[in-house]
Amino acid sequence: MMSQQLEQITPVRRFRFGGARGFGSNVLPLALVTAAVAVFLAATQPNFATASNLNSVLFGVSIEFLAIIGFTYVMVMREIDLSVGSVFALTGMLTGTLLVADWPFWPAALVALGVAALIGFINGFLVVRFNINSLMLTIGTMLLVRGLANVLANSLGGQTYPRAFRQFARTDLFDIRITIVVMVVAVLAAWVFQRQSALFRKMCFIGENVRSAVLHGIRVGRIKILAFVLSSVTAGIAGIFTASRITHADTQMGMGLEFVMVTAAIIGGASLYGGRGDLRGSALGLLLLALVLNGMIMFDIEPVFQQFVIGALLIATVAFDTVLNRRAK
Amino acid sequence: MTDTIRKTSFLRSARLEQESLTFGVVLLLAVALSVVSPAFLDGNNLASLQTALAPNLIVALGMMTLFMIGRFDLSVGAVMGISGIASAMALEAGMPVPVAFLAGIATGLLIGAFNGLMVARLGINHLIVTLGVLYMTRGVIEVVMSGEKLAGFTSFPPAFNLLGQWEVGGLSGLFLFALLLCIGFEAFLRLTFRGRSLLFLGGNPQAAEATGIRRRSTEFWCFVLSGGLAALAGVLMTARVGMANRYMGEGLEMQIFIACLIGGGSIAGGKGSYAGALAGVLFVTLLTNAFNLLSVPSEWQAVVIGAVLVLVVVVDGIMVLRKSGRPWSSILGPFPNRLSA
Repeated sequence: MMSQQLEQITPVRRFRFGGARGFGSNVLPLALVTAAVAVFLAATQPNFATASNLNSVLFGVSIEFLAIIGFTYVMVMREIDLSVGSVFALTGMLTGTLLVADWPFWPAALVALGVAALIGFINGFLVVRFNINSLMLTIGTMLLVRGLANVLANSLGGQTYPRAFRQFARTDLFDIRITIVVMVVAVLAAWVFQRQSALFRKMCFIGENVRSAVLHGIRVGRIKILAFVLSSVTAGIAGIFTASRITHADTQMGMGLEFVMVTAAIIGGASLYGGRGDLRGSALGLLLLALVLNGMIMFDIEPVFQQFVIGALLIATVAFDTVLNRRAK
Repeated sequence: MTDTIRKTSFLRSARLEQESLTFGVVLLLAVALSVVSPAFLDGNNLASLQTALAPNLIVALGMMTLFMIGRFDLSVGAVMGISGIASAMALEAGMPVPVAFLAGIATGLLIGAFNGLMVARLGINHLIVTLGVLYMTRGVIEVVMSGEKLAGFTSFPPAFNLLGQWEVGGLSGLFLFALLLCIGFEAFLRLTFRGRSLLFLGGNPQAAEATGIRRRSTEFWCFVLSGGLAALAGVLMTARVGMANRYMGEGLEMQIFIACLIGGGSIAGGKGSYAGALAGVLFVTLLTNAFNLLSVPSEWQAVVIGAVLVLVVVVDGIMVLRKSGRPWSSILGPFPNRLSA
């Protein structure tokens, strides 16, 4: 009896995770490409395979990874949240500002994350209630929140944060940076979440066909708002770590982060057309981008050229996504 | 029986309702400004207003064309910057003024053609394409300007400077040129078949294609037009201010975007007019001018612009819901109708 039931379930799983469906939906090839890039860099550049370089690349990726958690699941539902970069900056700077004003750490961080959650809620609520294109709306909140972050940055005027906070991002767990540990744990948790939970299947369903999801009684509005809040909060957590890492208020913080996220998420198997997305892939996508940028620095390509490369990669991955998506239909 | 045949008002039949509303707001803003700040009606301020209006209006004409067919172009600010630099570099290389002018315009047309190709032929999301192009273009600008001073190229032949600085009866020539261009576009929109088909295409793409309007090629040429107009604004502004640096046109795309939305365009397409683009640009330029006159710090300007954009997008969303027949109580009430979520 048991085995019969299991056999009935497996084909459904194979349909989702079978790998033949779309760019990057199978994580393995992406992992191989990333590994190939890493091996290539290690073979050609002696500075690459050093412990300090690898550690700093991984550390950077692990912080950005925190911000992409919610972002990926927003994309699964055919929405997008371009305000992540600004929320990232605002939360980090707000925590820093409160700490400079002699608040204890946890209340300051919680207040900042509360503000982030509020921004996420506003995004989600407006999108759901007025049926607005989330691209447009989050460009607006991106500008608005960026302005607020710059207000804070100017009021701080380049002051460094308190010492205890500057040490925060350098917290180690088992001799590894805590964010790297968090990343590994989160990837494993996401694996389970995407395989086992009904919520993730509902999200995919919403991304594939909103109307049908509504008709089948899925609480679309609630799930979407939840995802937007999650996206802002995870961006906020990443922002707190980054603020601690860069030690002072910088108006450039989180600039263009949202486009790195879109590119990484699409490389990792998400789609602008919704219904797909994989946090493991997103993590690999971020790692791949970080390796490419790291390699460009190793090969002495002008740093100003990075902007160009990110733009080109964005168009290329989305073009790939679009062409494959058209073929699937 | 007679009262069933109601005469539609002129504004409604000409589809200028939102445009006239925006014009009204602009007038109110202007009156309020002249009361609050005496410097507003100063000759210098009026002159700088004209200089600020002209390029914005030229860019907005291209953007509004794209809005009508349900597309938009976020790369205009960067295109403006790079075409100014292209002209300046051509002049630096000793080319005559007309060639340099054309070099700038050609740069914009090329970038517009790339956008158009990606969107119309490959069918890629226009936001992503134009955003990617914005990044790439800004990257190229940084690479090109990396060896230059902060002010960029500054020494131009007087014939080139004259392109941006001619005046007619005390009014800036650029401003008059932009106005003329706007009138020409409006006439094109209202009097020609091609103009009407733009709105038709945006309003109902399937029906428009079924009647034989070529969607892909229209989209392509609209992107080329937008790139070309942005380049024109960029070259003229370079001539006007007498320098080409990496900062020109930064953040302009958002201002123009907001101007077009306020002036009656909709991101869903099928709406909008060039008179509306003028009204929207007036509004945005007056708002920026107000910030400067009342010396509001620049970071708060970003907050207000973002808030205005959110507001406009929300109102646009509400209007779309109203158009689809939802009653106010269902849109704003505590229990929205779940089925249309």
